[in-house]
Amino acid sequence: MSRPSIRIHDLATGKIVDREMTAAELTEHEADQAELQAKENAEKSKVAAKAALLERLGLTADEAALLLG
Amino acid sequence: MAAGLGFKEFLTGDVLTAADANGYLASQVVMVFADSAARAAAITSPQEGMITFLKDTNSTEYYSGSAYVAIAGASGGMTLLSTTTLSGSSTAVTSIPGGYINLYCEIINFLPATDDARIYVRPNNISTASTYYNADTPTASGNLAFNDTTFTLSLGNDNVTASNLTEFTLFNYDSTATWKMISALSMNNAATNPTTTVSYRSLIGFMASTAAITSLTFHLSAGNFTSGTVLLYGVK
Repeated sequence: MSRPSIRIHDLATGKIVDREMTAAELTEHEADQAELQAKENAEKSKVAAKAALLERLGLTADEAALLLG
Repeated sequence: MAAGLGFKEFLTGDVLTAADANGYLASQVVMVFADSAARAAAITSPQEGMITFLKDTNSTEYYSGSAYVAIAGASGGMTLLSTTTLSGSSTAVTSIPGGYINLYCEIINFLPATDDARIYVRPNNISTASTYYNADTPTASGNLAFNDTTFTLSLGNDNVTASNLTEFTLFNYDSTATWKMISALSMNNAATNPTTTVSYRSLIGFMASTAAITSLTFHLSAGNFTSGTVLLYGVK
């Protein structure tokens, strides 16, 4: 299976190169995406938990902001 | 030096006289100099309408009859540096020239292959931990410890519909004396109800690097870019 590709647009030469990642780049890329997805999931979980809590309390987001403001 | 004589179409066999060279050619070409001192030494009696380019300030100037006046470059304005189509798992724009005050970037209709993926950007492709801080305006202020590995430009975008726009400014990007700062706005097609729901992000970000920025690497939280266009401008 081929590795993911990357695009490089060099403004000094005007050349655009599409190439496969090197092994080292792939390792870094996979770790990077795992970290970013974990952060995004944590953020989404927090938003969902907040919405669920407001629903249990019977409050809208605006009402909650008013209370905390 | 002769004054500008206007336009002349030279025909085969015409003799290029000294007067023609001075009046038609030297008065009208863009003459390139290292700096204004070199120009002053070379052109001791400039003529109205002469155009020069100074390499030290990247300034194109005309002679008004009494002084050199900037046309573009040092006087302000935006210069389109590149147009790049997003592709692969990341797309880098490299060898970004210095000499501008800010970099301004527009990302038009970015479409990820993976639903709800976000777009990020790394100046100089620096991914070291604790290099960045992403502040969702206007909630964050005060003492903020660098805690991230990239700038988060957007929230997630749908993987079918793209009518989105992300724009950002990187301030003082070629300075080697200051940390870097980004201001970004992004409206995206939400992964759920993408034609009727906007996914919005406003960002002020900081980067703990004093290196001049010469490249921008756009990347995703998952998958590849299907499409999208990056326009990069130098701003003076």
